[in-house]
Amino acid sequence: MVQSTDFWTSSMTARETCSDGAFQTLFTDPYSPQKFDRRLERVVPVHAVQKQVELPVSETRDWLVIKAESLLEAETVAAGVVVLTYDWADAHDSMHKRTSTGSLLLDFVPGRVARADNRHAWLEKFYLDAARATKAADIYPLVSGVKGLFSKKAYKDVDDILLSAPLGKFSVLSLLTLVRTTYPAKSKLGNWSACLERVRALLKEKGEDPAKLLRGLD
Amino acid sequence: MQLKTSPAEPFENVNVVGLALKSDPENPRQTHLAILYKFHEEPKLMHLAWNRDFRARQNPSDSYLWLDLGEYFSDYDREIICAHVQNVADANDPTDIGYGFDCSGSYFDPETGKFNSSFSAVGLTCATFVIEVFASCGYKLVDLNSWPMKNKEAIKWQRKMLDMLVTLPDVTQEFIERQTRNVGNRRYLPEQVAASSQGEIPVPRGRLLLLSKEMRDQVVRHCKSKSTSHP
Repeated sequence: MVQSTDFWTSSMTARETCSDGAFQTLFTDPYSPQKFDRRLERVVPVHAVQKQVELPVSETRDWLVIKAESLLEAETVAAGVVVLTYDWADAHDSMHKRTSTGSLLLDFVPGRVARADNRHAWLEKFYLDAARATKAADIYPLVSGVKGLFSKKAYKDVDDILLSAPLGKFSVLSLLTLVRTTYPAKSKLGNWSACLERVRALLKEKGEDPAKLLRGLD
Repeated sequence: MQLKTSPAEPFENVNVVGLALKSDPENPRQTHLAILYKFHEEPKLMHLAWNRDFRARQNPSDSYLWLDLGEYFSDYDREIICAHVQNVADANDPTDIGYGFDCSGSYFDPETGKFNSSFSAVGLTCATFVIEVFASCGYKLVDLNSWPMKNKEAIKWQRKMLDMLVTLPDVTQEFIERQTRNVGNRRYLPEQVAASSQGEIPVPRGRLLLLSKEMRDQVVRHCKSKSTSHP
């Protein structure tokens, strides 16, 4: 999964300014629940890339949080630049039309590529609609998907979801569904408590009452 | 509290999820409880009708009175419970769940929504089925231990049910033995479980007695009136 520190280099936060100075990527620690969804990122054009790796496009697509074919310009993809997109582009807004989806270039170790989890197409689809989820039918893909993973004892997969889910783009109902659906297995999920805290902070930001909405989960 | 009667107050008016109560025309004191939910536009009932007779998407009939969940449940709670109910409907087969006198709050696996198949001798009533489904999605309706054990009325009813269970062709010896041992277990009445949805949960039994009696009286009256109008 994208957030694994194994795949980031120590120079990551130094990449605030690209070589031409025209663009910058301001990146806050993805491990900090408070900052994760507040980072400011801007597109880095191909010519500003300091380091390129040769990977086929299919590899790029494999990243869970990348929609390479839809988010990046054709020339960028063709160049085979590894770009990790730390934000979800909304397929329904104008961001979809542009390449400025908040990309971060990073040093990359091809031998340590984490293969994306293409088994979870339902999750990617849910993420696209998570901001607008207000009804039971909207959240059902998440509920049934997570429970399906639990049925297969795929706790690691669920734990990765808790870590990498773009919570900043979630509706209140989506946030609550994620923590409530995963709550029964929280003792097996190392990221559950951190996710709960992120959800608590986001609910507060949205003007909700976290104590009321999260009751029973502490 | 006035229970709602269809068609005057149609089932589709349920605020996402609620409960439905009815009584047996041949024995009006015998009440039955179901979960009323609206996952799409059409309201459905989910309930345990009898041994190995789990009904996940039954159309509600006017024999039922119904109620929304109380204000303790937020709009978000209702949607989440409804999604979990739908999952229970999808995850379990009609013959998965036995009828009996068990209740622990953990017979549905909360991770998967499946009735735990390792408990083949376990049986639920219509009321404990509702308790277990809600518990499996994190909402404990009642304080289970506040009900009395070895209640005389409960034992009488459990023996009567057991007599019916043992005549069924598909029950195992293990099942009969377990349910025989269960006679004397706590009995949670359908109307008590329905009443528990109206306040802060989990509710102890003592706080439910008045409201549940009120509900029972309404259900019995409704049943008798239906019988009179449709002899």
